[in-house]
Amino acid sequence: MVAKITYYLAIMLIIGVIIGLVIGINIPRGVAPTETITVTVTTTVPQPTVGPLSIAVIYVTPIEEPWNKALHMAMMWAQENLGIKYTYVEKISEADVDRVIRSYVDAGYRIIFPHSWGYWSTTIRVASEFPNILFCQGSGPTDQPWPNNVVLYDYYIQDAAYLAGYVAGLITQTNKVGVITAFPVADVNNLVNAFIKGAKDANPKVTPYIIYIESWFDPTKAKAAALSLIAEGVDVIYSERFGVEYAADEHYKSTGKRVYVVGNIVNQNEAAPDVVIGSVVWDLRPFVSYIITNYMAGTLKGGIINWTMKEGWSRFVWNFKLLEKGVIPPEVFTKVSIIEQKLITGEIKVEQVWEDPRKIWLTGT
Amino acid sequence: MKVFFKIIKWREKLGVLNVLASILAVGIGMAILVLSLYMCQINISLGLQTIYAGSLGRYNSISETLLRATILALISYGLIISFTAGVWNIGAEGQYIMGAIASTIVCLTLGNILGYFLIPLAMIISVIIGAAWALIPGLLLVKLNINEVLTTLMMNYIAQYILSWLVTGPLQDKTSMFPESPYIPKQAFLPRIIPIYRLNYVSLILLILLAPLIHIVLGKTWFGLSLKILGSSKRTARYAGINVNRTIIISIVISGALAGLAGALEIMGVQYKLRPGIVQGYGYTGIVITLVGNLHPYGALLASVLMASLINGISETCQLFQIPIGLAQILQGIFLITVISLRFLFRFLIEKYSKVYGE
Amino acid sequence: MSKMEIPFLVYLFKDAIWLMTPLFFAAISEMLVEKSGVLNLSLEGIMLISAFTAFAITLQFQNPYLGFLIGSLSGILINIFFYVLFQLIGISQTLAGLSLTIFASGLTFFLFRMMIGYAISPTPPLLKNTIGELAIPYLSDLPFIGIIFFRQNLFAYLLIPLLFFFYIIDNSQIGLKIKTIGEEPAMADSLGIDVYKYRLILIIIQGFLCGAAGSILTTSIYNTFLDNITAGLGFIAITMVILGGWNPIKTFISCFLFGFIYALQFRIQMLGFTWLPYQFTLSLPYVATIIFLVLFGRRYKPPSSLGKTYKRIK
Repeated sequence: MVAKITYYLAIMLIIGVIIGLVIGINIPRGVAPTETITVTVTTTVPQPTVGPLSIAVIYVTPIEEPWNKALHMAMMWAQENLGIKYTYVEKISEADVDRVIRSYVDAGYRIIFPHSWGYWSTTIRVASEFPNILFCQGSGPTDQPWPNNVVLYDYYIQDAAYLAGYVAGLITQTNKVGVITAFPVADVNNLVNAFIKGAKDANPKVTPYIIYIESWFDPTKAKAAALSLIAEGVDVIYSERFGVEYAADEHYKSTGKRVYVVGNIVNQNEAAPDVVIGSVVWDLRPFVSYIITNYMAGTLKGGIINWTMKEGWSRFVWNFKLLEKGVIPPEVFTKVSIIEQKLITGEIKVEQVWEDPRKIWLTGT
Repeated sequence: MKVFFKIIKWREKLGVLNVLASILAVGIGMAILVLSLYMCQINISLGLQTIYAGSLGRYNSISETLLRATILALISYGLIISFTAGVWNIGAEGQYIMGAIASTIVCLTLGNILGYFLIPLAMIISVIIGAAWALIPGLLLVKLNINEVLTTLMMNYIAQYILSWLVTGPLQDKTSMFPESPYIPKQAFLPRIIPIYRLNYVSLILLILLAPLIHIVLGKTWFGLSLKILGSSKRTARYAGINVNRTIIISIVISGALAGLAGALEIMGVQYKLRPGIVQGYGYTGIVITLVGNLHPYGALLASVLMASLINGISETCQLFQIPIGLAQILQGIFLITVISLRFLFRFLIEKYSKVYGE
Repeated sequence: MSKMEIPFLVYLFKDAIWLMTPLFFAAISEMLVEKSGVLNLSLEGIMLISAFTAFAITLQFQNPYLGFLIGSLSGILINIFFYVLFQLIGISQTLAGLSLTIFASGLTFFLFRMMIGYAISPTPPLLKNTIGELAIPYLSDLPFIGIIFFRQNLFAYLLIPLLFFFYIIDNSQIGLKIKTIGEEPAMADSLGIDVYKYRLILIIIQGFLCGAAGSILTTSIYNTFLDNITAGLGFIAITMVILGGWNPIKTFISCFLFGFIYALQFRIQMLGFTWLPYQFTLSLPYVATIIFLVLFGRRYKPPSSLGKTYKRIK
């Protein structure tokens, strides 16, 4: 037994020496790795940014998910047009975000976007530790004591969802409008409620159908759910989650009947150009450029961002291919454009309704 | 030549070849890591430096690495016991989830009543629940002779769905937009060594103390011996007068208990709330560690620290150099394949040549 | 039955068949392989890798049939690797399978990102051509039945021939030999049944069918690849084999039931039954299998050498 332990110890030693040698040889002389340790604890002195402003974004799921893609696309745009350096990492669980933020801070990133609700408590804690770093937290509770260096934003795009609902109400033939969505939680409910309200305003006879796929990202389930809605005779589906357009496209190709899909968060018009009527787009480009320009000018203040359609926060993007083909009557387009103008000028205001849409709209069934 | 193989045979008794297999596997894994850094057009020395910085190069990294290593090591300590007995418990993932659920429920319901007894009680309950979750496949194996691999695998999925139901239903934080439970009360947070870093005393103590304990149990007690005999052959175990069924049940229950404890540590020392994100494949990584660690507690300790450093270090490299995340997982698969292949190859060579140069 | 409910049921059955297609491809091949005493836990990994391969090839050559073929062949390749690990080297089947699955799930995501790069377009790269629905002339115009059975995905038509094929094999002389291998490999070898050869052939067939199951996902059901696109389908296939008691027809029925329950869960929600948590329906295959095993554990006998390493003694 003693011999065995001795062997293990010897082997441990050998591994340690090898790893040490490899690292020792590879470390450039003059830069001791231990020097970085002090930086982690005391980064209170403002450091001049060398080179372009570097921004890091932390995503909880792969960037294909629309919620992530909206920010990813805005950042790619900013990298090309605003001269920033953009890095991201995906699939970071809530437990690891603390370590990830610290290593980004160490690497000299000045703006960090923890882009998920699950990160908020870590952001509060780490942000108060590093007051010089700007944190942009993607969604979080509004009643928390946020430090001054945190900007809180969320996808309050109910204006555009209302507009999409209005379109759905105008074009539906069967008076059945479906919604496929993730979980019955506040910020999702907000969109679903706005969509159904829009549909009801355009066409009071509309019956809403709502399915929760109980997952943030599961195209299989979304597709299967969409097929069940199509079978029920629903002919406009608000695809709050990704995956519905596969079902509608397949249905169109096999039967020739169009079930219209409204994309959400990012422009999904290209995913299935025959059936996607338009997308509720969460456009983060104005927001990102607002953050960057104000940060460079030194005028940025932390707080909650509560933008609407007026600031370009959200838009309803038509699939113009369908309009050109004449599938959608032009009068629908004009009617919707008038509503859009009213939304922008503030004549119509869409309230934020957080309640479970099933309790509001499905009473009696 | 003959002498050489005699030496090899002598050393094989000391398990050196298996250790060699582990080291070679780690070496091959490292080579592949370097190769992939090269393929991603990253300066290799810079990449390795980043891995070092992300795993052990800063106070925070050390704390995070050891924290992760504890959870991996606890799971693999348990697996050592059941694998030694030849019981292939693939269900550490599910037992870990059930342990996490149990400790959350205890902390949330009894948090304000118990005070200082909360932490030990939550740990004990999660150990019991983890053990109970492992008991079901154990009983099925003993009573009905149903393959434990299949049942433990299915129990993993059931545990995952229970977790998913709890965090979207009964345990969900009503003010949250995500499926997650409320925070557990402050007195349930495991005491930290340095307040701003999450490494806590309990994890560190368990990480260091359990390895010798398991070593003593395996090497010095009748129970450990009976596990080894059972692992080599059931028939021999029966002849030796070992209660085979009881030993199988005890071994799988111990592994479930330790996985449950790992779940409790994840909740009370890392996440502080129940969320689907606690499922990170630790149960499967634990299997890798157990085999790379050569079914030996010290080996598992080393391997878990190595694996935790690799996961953290590679994650840091990925995030700074824009390599797709997933490299750590690839390496895990390669470690597992190479270590077991090499062990079997060595054994095969020894058997072949010991026949040729028979003693 | 009112007028409303007829299309409801029709489409329910149609979706159930659609959802069971890849599952059955994987499950039926796993059934025969398990009969020869091999527990292949790398199903999930094979499906992921072949799904990715099929996607990459289709994207490159714009031909979904070619993609499907190469994807299925890649399944054979992985499965032969698995064979080498467990049969020639002698690693535990469980560990070999699991390590391949862990490896594959990391590898596919890594390669996917390397391939499409970081500057992704608004939507992930989509395949323009996919293998779509195939309506059989005349028959598809039949009421109800036409929609359920004759307006299906191309691969759904292969379900019955596949079941027939495996049923024949299962009840033939070859099937008997396979069962002997699964029960007593050493005895089979002494009887002159080449265990290594039979297992290799079965592994190749399984590799192809499992690869096909994975390729169906990217070239037919979706038109893109996503991280973890299989979502545990490989493990569900293994469960279905147990639930089917290593019998081709019962395996078919359990696969269909799974597809049915899966298709039903959304409709239940739509009709307003929200009290039933969806996790209950999703965990049903696993719970049902364990309950079945507890109740009929003695009747549902797995092959005796399932999952055990067998090496021929020369």
